[in-house]
Amino acid sequence: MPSPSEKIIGYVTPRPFGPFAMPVPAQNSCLREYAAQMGFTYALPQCEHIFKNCHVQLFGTLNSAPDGGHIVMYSSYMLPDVASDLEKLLEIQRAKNLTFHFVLEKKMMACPEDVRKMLKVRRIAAIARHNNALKKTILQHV
Amino acid sequence: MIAGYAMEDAVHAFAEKRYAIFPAQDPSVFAQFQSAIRQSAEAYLGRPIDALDVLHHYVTPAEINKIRLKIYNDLNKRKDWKIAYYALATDTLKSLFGPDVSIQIKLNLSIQIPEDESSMLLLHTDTLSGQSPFECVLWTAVTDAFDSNAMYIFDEKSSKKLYQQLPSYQHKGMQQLFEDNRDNAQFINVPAGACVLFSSTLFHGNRVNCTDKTRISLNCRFKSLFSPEYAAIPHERVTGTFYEPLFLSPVTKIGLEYDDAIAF
Repeated sequence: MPSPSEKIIGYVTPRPFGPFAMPVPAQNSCLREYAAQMGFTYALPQCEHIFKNCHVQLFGTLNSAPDGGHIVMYSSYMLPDVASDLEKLLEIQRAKNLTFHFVLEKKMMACPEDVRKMLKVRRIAAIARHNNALKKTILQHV
Repeated sequence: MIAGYAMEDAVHAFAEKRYAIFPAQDPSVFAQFQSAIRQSAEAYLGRPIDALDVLHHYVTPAEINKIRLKIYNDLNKRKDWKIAYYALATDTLKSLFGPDVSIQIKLNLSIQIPEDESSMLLLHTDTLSGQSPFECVLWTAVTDAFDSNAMYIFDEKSSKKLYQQLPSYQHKGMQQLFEDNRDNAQFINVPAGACVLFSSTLFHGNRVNCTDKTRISLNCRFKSLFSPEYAAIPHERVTGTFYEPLFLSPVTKIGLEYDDAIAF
């Protein structure tokens, strides 16, 4: 349990993420509730920009977070897809010892290895979804 | 331009700089908002307070979001808040938007207590989050805004420059973009009761409040009813979930009632 003064900093996006789209106020409510449940003081999130692959606000949040800080977002799908951006994010996470909290996945990740492991699971999930569609197509044609 | 309300001056300033500063057109309506905020804060605390700008004497940074939500919910429960908020700048809004006007569904409240880093809204524009570039924000100071508790804004020219620089700040973030351009930021020092009307395309934000006074402000957005909304991706900042009609002209009412689906 964190001390009552320990902050968790939110991050929200107006863009669809992964297979999901969620209004910003709904993301904000979930993050606020998560912070309360975990005993953190909730720091208002910066809202990401609408442009594809833009993560200016996410990196700004990481850069301004204190060493050992906590960042909460609704889903890990909100992390960058572009490899160089993801590597930069993991570099900052390691350098500042940051912990990411993902509400949807119910995961707390304190090191880049945890994030990489989760991304591997995400790739498997994407393949599984694709295979399901492929199976349906095959069934329609036999 | 604070001394007296002159719609022509406000519209002229807006056309020139994309923002205008003026006193609330109806001071009695402003006083009602201020009083409602104070009552709500006192109800939350269970005791009277000396003044809104010393709210930090009664709450800690850890509690600030709870009291903010209490006041926000109380304000938004008032059935008349939309008409009342419009009344703070009726003539200017009418001149800029005409008779068909939409308003943001919720009235927002900012509370910046001294040294609180959890309530900061860093450099941003509303359009970057998907809001319509045809929108304006009406921001109202509920307490005096001065020094580091004031918001800052970038004018049209500076905002365009910041837009162009954005991609190169992917890894540096918005705070660095602000630091590298802070000389162009204009800090809005205004007394309680002043309004700032600005285009959603302008960069603005706030900093850690290093004064010994709490700053409280209201903000809400307006656009003309049929002006375009950002549609490249599905999102909620559109009519129905973010904006709703406030006023309809008689002609618009006729048009909306007209049914041309006649079957032969």
